[in-house]
Amino acid sequence: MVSLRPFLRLLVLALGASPLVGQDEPRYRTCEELERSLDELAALEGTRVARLSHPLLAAAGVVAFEIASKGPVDRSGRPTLLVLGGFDGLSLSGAEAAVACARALGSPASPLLPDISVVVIPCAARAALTRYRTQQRGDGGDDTPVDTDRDGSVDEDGPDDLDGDGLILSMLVEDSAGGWVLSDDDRFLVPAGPLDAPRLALRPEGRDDDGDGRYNEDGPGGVALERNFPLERPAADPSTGTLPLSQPAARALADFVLERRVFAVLSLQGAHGALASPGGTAAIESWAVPDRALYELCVREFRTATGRAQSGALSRRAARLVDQGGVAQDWFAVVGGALSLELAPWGPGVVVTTPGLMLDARFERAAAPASRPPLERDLRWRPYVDDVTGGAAFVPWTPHLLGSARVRIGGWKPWTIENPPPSELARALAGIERFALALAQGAPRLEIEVRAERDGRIATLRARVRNAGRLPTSLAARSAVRSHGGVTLELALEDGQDLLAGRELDELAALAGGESSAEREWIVLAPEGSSLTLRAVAPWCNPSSVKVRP
Amino acid sequence: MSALFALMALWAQDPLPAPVPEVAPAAPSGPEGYCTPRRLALVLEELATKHPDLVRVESLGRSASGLEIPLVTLALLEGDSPRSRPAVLLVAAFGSEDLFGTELALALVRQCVAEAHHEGPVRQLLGRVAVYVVPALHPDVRSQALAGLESGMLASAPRRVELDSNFPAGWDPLAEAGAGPYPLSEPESRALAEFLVANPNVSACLRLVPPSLERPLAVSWPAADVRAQSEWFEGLGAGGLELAARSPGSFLRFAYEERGAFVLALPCSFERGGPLALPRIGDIPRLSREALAGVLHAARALPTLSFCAPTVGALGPAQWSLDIAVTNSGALPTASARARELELLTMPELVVHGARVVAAASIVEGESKSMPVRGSKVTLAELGGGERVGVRLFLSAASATDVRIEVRSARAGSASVAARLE
Repeated sequence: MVSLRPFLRLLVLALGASPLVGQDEPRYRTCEELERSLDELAALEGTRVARLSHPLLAAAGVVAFEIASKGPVDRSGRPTLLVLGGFDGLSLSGAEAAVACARALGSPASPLLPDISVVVIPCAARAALTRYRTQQRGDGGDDTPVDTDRDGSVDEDGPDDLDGDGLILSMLVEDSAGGWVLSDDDRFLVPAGPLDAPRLALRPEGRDDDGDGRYNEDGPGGVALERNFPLERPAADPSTGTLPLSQPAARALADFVLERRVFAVLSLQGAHGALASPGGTAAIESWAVPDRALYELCVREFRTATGRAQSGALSRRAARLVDQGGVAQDWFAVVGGALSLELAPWGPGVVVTTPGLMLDARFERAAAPASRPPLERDLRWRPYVDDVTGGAAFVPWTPHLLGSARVRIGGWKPWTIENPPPSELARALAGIERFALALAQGAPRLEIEVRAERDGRIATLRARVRNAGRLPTSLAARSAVRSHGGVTLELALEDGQDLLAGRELDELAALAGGESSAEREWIVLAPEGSSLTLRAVAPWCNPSSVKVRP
Repeated sequence: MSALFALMALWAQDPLPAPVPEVAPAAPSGPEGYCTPRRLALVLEELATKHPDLVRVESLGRSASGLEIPLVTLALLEGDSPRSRPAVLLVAAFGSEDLFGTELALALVRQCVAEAHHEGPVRQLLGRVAVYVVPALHPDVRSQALAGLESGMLASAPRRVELDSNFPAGWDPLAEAGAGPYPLSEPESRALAEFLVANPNVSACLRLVPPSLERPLAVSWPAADVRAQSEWFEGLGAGGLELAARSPGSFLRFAYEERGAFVLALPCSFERGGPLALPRIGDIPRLSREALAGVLHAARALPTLSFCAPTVGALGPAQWSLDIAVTNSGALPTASARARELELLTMPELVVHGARVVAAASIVEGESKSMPVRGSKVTLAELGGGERVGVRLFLSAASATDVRIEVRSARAGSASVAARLE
């Protein structure tokens, strides 16, 4: 009888690998579908994928998968790469990318080292992603009712489809207290200066449901999990939660990172198309400076894996063009001590325009003095909207009478700048799994090189520690929780052995990828025939030990 | 000494306390008569049983080792919830440095009950405000310290997380070794922070602290709050915002910076004896009287709204004007400038029952200005300490209708007044 298992395995790997899932049109999968695809993979013999049974995560409703090869070290004790999909609550493409990573790393063919574990959470902000997918828009907030306008009612003034076009876009309201004016490109807004008019308030499309004179200022949801972390969290912003880590899922994730030996966190989210290092604010950006070389190394890997043209390391605030405090990425680095990276699957540079495909939406304008040039973000997206979509990604501002107020409705269509259109998803995900694999394979590994001699009962031991991985053994920036971030080398003496010279416990500096420490030397009075044990430990590594009989 | 004299002078404003109602020592006391967490719980429970009209004992939460953290509410409870009243919160015993706070807080609760047991200013005060007391925020430390004292083996194991560095405002794990891996990582600090979030009626937070010689920091917080705070406690020798500013991650800093509550650290001066630096048992009544004076002073200053008698005018068939004045009779504003900055609280509002509100206007120095109306509600501006605002309501109702006007504020409680439209 012919076994169908190999065929089924190939079929599941092929069908689950992309967001198509047997549909005629590409589409984004629900969180359940994404997780089911990994459950199916886990059910296959020979894969390394399994649902992670972790009480803290389970209690908070966080679904995680662990990918690990068989090896001597228990999975929970191994250096762990944590991959978070769509933790910002917006990036459905990040959730798809996380599943793509899990599939690639979980494949029996992938060269995953036996002493590494990868934990993938495909939908790290489940409620927000679900809402985004259903409504084709969102703000990253979860389902927690938040009284955004502090009027004693919650979620009482959300957006509406005023013009009946089936889309909820943005709305401009003429308002002398508004903070915006139109730029030279009248699709985009710039902050209003002192004498600028007409001043505009930018709101989501919709009426003033609660009659307080403000439009759509308190819609459904919620707390943004990824911004519910401490470190410069703006307490006045209700979307960051009433307290830091007030949301069970955010706290469970923080506790998980503290509990496990997490050496890297890869947050797949954002719409800048780049790889961003920690630094949601200037203070954290400065804190991360000592690790600049490490982030440059990661960008080189990122370029190789994805073919994207990022010239150098970018902090999160530089990539996003906005300051954000209280972000998980920064906490994972400063307190978790992990290499914490944000990789945005989608961004303005992901779809490279070629001359043959140009669909200019606008004629070249005559060079005019630019009094109000668009903001940097809009300038970055303008080639995409004009040259790739022929202008279709943006709905021009159209006048609409709302009661006695004159408003204009328009803005970016869904599936344009926050997430790629489903037809572009495969292109957005290309190479991300290779980058995740490079991170996992690059994990630091300690090796002890030792020479031992004996003259009677006197043994002389010389050893150095080598980092056989590509990544360093820890961050160079100061850790909030570790007093020593380097490598600890311990000579474990047995009964009857006495240390005559050298340190029983030596604290060495952190080691870069491929680097060896300076040689250390011990003189030990040891009975003949006895062995000596050296043990090396570093924050991101499995402990390494070697026993020698001089 | 000036602090002591000032507190004693305040104390003298109130009649001498009546003898403390007898509370039998239901559980064995700790070594040298100090209070173990178990004894504390039993004494509080007994107080609550004897004085159900005055004392409510609940659990704030549990400590890391599972001990209950008691929360005492002192208020004359006549049907309404303490949450609807202006409130002050006193928290004691964050760690080994202020273990003495538990003895003082417990004695303070008992003295307060003794006073409120009889008609008088304290009973009146507890009729309109609530005083929350957390006598032992960190019962684990107390339990370990007293066990060590009893056994003669005082452990001085390094503390992993200092509770008073584990609050969110200014939390800095790079600067403070005991800040913890994240703010509120400890069950005790989280329980206290969650209580403050869930009880927006708390206008002022107090701590009992050892006297400090450290220089206060200049603060860059809103000048209105710094002024209100210093006027509030002028001459008491107590520290407030400037102390909070000096302590990143502290409870007082969190209470002000993230919850907009006024804060006060009441210094307790005593001769420290023994390895735990606790006051002598004989000194506790004096110390707790001083502390109670500070707490009552804070409670008296809480914002409190009241009405003057309304004036009705006829405007036409079934249309009326009704003039009222709302006063904040407390020394503190209905919301601090910081709370307004953070938009933490709903604004004070007037609610009209029995008539339709057509429009409303505020009247300030004879000049009237239209006010926002939503259904039966009119939103007021926050009121400073002692401030009064006139409001003219334009109402529609049949003649001889009885209307009731209610004013509500998250931190200043509520008040109501009735009028007949005729």
